[in-house]
Amino acid sequence: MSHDGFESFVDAIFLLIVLFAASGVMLTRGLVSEHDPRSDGVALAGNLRLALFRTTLDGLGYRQGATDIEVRNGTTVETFLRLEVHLLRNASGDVDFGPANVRIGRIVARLLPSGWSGSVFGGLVGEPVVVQLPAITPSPDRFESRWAYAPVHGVGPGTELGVLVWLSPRR
Amino acid sequence: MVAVLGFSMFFGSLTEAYLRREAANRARVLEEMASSLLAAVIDDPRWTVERAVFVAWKLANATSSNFSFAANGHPFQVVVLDLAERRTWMFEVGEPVGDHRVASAPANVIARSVDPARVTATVWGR
Repeated sequence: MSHDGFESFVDAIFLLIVLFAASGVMLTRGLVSEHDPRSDGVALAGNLRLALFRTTLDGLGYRQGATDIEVRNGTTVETFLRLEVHLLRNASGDVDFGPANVRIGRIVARLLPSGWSGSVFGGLVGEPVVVQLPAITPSPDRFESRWAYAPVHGVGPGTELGVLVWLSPRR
Repeated sequence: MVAVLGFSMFFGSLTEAYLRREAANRARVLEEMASSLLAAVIDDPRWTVERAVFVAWKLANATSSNFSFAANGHPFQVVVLDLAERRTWMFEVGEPVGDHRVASAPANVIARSVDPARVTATVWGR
């Protein structure tokens, strides 16, 4: 190969490399998304917590030993969950919140947009969670909104309630 | 031949990148419009007492034209669904065709009690 031919060949290869790199950069830049999906999850968790905790329900109650106890109509989910955490942590004997928990778990599911799952949790500050509705294992990649409350009787650790949301895999 | 191949690839990529960017921009604009529409609905004091807390009887007085400004002339639909009473308030304008984006948020409707609700705002665009 003559010197001129070799030079043309090197130039052509160099041109090809440059155009290939430029094409790659353009295609990659074309796919860049400026929207951060994490902000959706954080906002959803906060909005879900507010909407759920403001909701009032009639006919909520629980069973303590052999006695059915009904709380007054119009009790907010927030107040009921605080009571539930308090009683599960401090009451003597069996306390069963089963039917009320099912109702609250259903509301959580219905408040969520399609494609998202979530649960509500509660416990004493600094201690393990004692309430989780519905009782499903949350995804490790989740968003959270929580709120701490003063202790029910004014002494001891406060109560903490919150919600978790995460993207559901397609089935 | 190398130059022809190289430039074909380059301009092909340029065209594809442009089309992708345009599609992404269109989707982003629709997403922003859907979010603005949702915000216009849940923040309006004419039918809410605070953010995303609707008053049922006030919501009944709202009309589709109250929300049109947030959709910039695009077809849209806003649905407020009271999950406890199964009541729905729907506001829509235009023919729902083309690409669309949805923004939704949990909310409450005050009627006899404070019910859980969901608001969904959908905006269409070509």
